Amino acid sequence: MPMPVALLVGALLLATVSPVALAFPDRPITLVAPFPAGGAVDIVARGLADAVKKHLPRPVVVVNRPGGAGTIGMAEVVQARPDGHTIGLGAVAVAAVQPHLTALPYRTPDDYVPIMKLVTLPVVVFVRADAPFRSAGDLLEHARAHPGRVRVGVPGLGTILHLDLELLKQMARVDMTVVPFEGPHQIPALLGGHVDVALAHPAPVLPHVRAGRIRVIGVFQEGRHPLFVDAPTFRELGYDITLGVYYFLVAPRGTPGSVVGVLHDAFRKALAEPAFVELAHTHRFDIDYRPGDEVRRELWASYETLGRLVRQLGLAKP
Amino acid sequence: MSALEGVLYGFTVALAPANLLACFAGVLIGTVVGVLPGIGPIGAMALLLPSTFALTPTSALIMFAGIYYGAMYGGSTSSILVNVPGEAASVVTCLDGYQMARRGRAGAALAVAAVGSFVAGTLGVLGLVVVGVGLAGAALRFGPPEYCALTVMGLVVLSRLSGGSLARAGVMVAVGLALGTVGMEPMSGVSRFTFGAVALAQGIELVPVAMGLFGIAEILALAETRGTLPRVASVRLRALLPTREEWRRAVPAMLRGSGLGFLVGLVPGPAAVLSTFLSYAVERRLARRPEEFGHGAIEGVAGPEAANNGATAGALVPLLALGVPFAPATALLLAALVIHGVQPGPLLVSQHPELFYGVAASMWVGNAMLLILNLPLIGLFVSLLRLPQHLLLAGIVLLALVGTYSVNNSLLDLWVLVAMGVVGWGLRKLGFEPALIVLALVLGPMMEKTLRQTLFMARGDPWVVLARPLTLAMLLVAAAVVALPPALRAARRLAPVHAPARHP
Repeated sequence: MPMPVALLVGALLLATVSPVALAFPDRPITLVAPFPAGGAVDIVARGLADAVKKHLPRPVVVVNRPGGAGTIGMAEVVQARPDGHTIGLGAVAVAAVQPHLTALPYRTPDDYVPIMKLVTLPVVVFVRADAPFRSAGDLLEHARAHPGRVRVGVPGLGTILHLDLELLKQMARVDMTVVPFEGPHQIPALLGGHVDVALAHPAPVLPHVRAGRIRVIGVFQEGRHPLFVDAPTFRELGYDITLGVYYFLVAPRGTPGSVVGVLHDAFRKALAEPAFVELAHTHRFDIDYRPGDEVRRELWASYETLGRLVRQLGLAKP
Repeated sequence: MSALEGVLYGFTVALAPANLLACFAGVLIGTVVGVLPGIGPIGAMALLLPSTFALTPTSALIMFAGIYYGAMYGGSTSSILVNVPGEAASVVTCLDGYQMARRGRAGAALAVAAVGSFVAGTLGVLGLVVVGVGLAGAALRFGPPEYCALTVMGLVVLSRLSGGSLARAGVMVAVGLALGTVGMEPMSGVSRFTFGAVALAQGIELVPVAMGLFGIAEILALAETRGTLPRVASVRLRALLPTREEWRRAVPAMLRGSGLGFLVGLVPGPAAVLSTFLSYAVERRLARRPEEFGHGAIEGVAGPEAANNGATAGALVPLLALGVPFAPATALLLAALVIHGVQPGPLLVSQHPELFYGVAASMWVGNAMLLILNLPLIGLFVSLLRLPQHLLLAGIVLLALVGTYSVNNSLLDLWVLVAMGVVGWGLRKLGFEPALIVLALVLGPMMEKTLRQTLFMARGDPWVVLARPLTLAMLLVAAAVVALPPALRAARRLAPVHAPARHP
């Protein structure tokens, strides 16, 4: 066999043995956004796909696979071929809460590869500006004196916002009535006086705060929120609940470590791109990088505590 | 800034070349996706969202609003000509529009639909500017109990949509309600009737059901009977326009539809779809010859086609004044704003007058463009029917499949489309009204959601519901609609006993 042919055969053999090790990515990468176009997940996904362009030889294409509270898109990623060409945007509730509520192709954080944490959306608690409660302390005192009378609007049961509230109820030993809404519809319900308190992310609340109609009385995060500096964190008030909604990059289990490394490095650089930093500022979410193994530990902790919580609340499937 | 100053200022914004272009692009895309079955305004906006990064927020909203109301114009075309709804808000237009086409009045139906849309668009813009923000305050007084009562009333009243027996209507409503429960329940995340299939968690979507029950079913029926689509002898514009008598009947229906549509736009839910059902029911109730409905009554085209356009204007009120999208389509309008960092809310009109008034004025400009665009196109669309039928029908099926897939990238939606086509074909053989399935599929999940919210709020105390006057009134209306007809029949049976006494 002449030398060049032997080399060619050798190269082909090598290529079939470990195709990804040689050239990743060798075609466009699909980034599954498990929520509809125009939502927060979609905005983050598209912003990242744009910002990562410079750092990967192939484009990243965002595909929206909405439905099933994010589980359909997540399941698609988990079941994809583990070569790094199909990855997704994971959300903490989709990963750590949904498996307790319904049978899914994934259960624990060991069933997929969290590549890195990307961003966090803080959770704020707010009342109408003319509400009798001036502060979160007032609210909890009032709720303690009138069990079940305070109505709290949350965006759906089993969401991080709902579970933050339930944790607060448990720690503060108060009974408040939870009313679930879809999306941000708890905000008009609060403005119309149909609920007394509501929880949401900062962006849709801010215009109403600026118009003097809504007052933020507390935030679930580690430090105070720069837009609502007067509102204490619940940690300051003695209730150590800091879980916000975070999104992470996820790949199917079995994706080679070298491929995960390429993706991690590229997306980490994307998070620092000025355009993405600007996007985060515009949409009031926080860039919150953490390496993959740390995310997996956090997801495991949330999986355990929130799993216990949804079982206590009777939300988990029997 | 007064409303008048605002409108004048708005026109300077709307007529700026870039915005004029955005408006034209929007209404053109809207018309096209409206005409094409399967893909509707929501799918089109989702696909185009990334491209709006390059525009200013005002231009982006002008373009998306154009797609939204433009689709309402386009949607009627395929409903009328081939009984295939161009999008979900044109299902009702199939009922009488297609019958008009069969009787050779396709041109009249198309013209009335276009003019009705224009009238509603004009009045809607007026409503948005003059009373818009105030109405948002009124909409806030509607909480879960009110919405729940509203859906109950809507379901009861509208299920009498097409006459016929109550039992038959009940069966269709029950099927629609049942389909609405499939999938992951959005408030608690519980999966129902998914049989362990993750794909089913997304639920049964409105678009493939509407396309299947009407579009695919019609094509199956034509294939089976070797029937033909309506033939149009002449495509001269003169012959296509409505007669004086047709105008006389259509104009009041347009005005009523415009008002109804605008108000329905303020209610959370797929407003445009609902408004068409409501308008149809009202027109049928008010008509001097209700028996004509279902056989080509022009009011049944004019009213609903005006209503869905009115609803697009009404739906902008909660979006712009509260920053909360009430309808699936306005969620994408909101997205077009927030990707630019504009979060609408109570201060939008004072902080971004160029946006509020500019978009309002552009809607009028866009509606005028649509009218100019659509009237001459009637001839063209009607001549589509001259294509060899086997090619036209195969093309429609292909478009419906591609369009439906493009909305969610979901294979399940395709299976639903095909299955509903077969179901719809069977239903018309048995004489059932498939529009009621669409209606119940829209209202069912809204009713369930608001009922659950009400129950959460009430904590077992019925007074929470009954002490609210609006809620109580709507529930009483619903009860009356169910109870009165049998009561009146009973009274009539008793009447002859007394009658001779009065007329000896």
